[in-house]
Amino acid sequence: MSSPSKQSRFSRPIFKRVLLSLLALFCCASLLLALTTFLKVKAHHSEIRNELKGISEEVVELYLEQGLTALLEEYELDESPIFDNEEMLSRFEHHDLVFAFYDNESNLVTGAKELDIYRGFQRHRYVVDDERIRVIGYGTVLEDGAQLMLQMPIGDEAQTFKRQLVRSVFVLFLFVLLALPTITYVLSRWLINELTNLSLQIDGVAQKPDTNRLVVCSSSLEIKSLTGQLNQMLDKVATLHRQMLTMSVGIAHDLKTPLSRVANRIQLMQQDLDDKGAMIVHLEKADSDLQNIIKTFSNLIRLNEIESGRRKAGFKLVDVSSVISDLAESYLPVFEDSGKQLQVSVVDNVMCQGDIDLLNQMVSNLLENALVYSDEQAKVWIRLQSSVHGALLQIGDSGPGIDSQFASHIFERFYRVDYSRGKPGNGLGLSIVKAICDLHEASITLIPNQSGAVFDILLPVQE
Amino acid sequence: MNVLLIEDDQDTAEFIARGMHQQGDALKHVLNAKDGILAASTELYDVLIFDRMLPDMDGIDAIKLLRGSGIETPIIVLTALAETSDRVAGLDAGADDYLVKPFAFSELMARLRALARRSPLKQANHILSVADLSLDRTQQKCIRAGTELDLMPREYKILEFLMMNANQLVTKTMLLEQVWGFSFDPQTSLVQTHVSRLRNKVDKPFDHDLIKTVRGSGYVISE
Repeated sequence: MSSPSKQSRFSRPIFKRVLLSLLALFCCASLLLALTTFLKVKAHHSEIRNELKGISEEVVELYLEQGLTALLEEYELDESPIFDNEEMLSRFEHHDLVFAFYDNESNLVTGAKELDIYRGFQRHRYVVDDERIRVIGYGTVLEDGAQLMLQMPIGDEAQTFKRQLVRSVFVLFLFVLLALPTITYVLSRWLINELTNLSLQIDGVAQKPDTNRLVVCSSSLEIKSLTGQLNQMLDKVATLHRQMLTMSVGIAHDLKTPLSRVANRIQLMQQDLDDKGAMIVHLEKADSDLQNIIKTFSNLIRLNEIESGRRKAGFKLVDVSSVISDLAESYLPVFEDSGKQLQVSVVDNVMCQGDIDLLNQMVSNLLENALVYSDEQAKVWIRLQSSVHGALLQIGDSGPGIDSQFASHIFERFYRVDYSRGKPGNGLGLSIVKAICDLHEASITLIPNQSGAVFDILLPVQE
Repeated sequence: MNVLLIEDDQDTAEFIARGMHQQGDALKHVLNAKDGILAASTELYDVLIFDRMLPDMDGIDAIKLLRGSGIETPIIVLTALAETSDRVAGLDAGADDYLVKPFAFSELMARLRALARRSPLKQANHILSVADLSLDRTQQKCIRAGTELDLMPREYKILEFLMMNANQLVTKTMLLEQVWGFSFDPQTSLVQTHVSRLRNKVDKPFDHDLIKTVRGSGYVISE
């Protein structure tokens, strides 16, 4: 796919998303501003209420301690104690406090004539020359039944806050209106370019997935990290692909050769139908070839079973020392008969959680590898010793060893260093060993630069 | 030997029936678990051969049913699966042996005969003997023609298993399972080497060989 069409494929959704994101951002900012204003107004109201309550307490205290006359004198009301509605509104306009004091028979003693009587806080609204005045009132009843009413205008602060809010939202809106297209364009452009670049590179990788890799040419950390992850994934897939390829070749070879031989035998049988002796030979050879194919499949099934991890459920405490000693003892005569020497050195009481049958196979496969692939009269050894990190099992031979160029592939299925496949085996032995190690959380390594093939297995132990 | 075969695959059934007929053994073949359970519960057999996958029931479930109803006839399970967990499931359900398809007919026969002859009395025999060879299982002593033979532990186990199944074929796989406890087949001549060493002690110093090789199949100990 060409670059422009890739760009157009990304453009619409990205542009849409960036625009929606920025609009959502604008809405959130407006909401935040409104919330701040609301909280400010609320705090202002609360301040006025506290002030009213304070004044009320002061007045009550003075009245109770020194009587009404002292109260009127204190607030210079002894000459005109009662004032009308006009006076009240005029006080409100000057942001002054208005009050009314009633005696215990609800007769107005001093203050504004037209104040409502109640207890606690209330909000009121008055209109003076088409201008609305908002006030907060507070009423309290004294011990002797007298009542004190106070009212105080809220003032312009709340209005100021609200006006500020409208202004801020408007400025924000203007900013969004003017800057949004630019920001949307720049952001979208950047994202589209990054994605188009990545997409083109992925197309390149798809051409040769085994060798081509993504090249990081972005300043974005996210894209860098994504590219790295994709490359790691590609490496893993490539390894799996290579293993599958080796496996296919392995299966093809391991099946085709014996099957061809069986086919040849059948042709020979057709020629030798009357010769019973020859027929018996043909049948035995054909059977032997078919048995080899069946063995290969059995090993594949076993390998899959081990890799599936199902056998972990049956793990028990195993005396590894005795398993290895017993097995080594069994193999001693086999090595002896083939003119090779097997040295055994096993420390006692190494225990681990495991599957005894699989541990037997692990050691058996490695010993048999040593037996088949080592030189004539080679020295082979098996050692089990304790180490800081667990038990160290070493199985090695004196030569000729495995060339370092093949070392990284030896655990792959059907991989055989012996390309001609002349020696017995099917290239699954070491794969099975590796799978058994993995199941037991043991690590296996082929020690480099040795004269022979030396494997170290580090097995987690149970004290 | 009277055998009941519960197997839905006609080819496998024919393969077994033909072989058994040639050897003079009686075989009844049924195609499903229901008929198998009925036959096993109402007639007497030496061994039952159960296929693992039957059309109407899992062979394992059928075996559980039979064992649950008190039928103790030895059972061998045939399966196309080679997974050990499957084998364990079969043995846990009450089967006595397990054989993975495809198998050699001689392998099946050897296992059938071992099962048919397996009786509690024989298992408990303290002394096993074949001709002038005798094996004292309590003292782990082996004597032939009055001479005590010095056997290694594996050699003793091989001889013991051969003598428990005297006059019958014992396959290499059976020895690997019984003597070594392996459910896998080593590529090398592990069994052959040990049997050869055993022969050097049991047969070589004497006139008459007791352990015979059945080519491509296994070993028999007989007079």
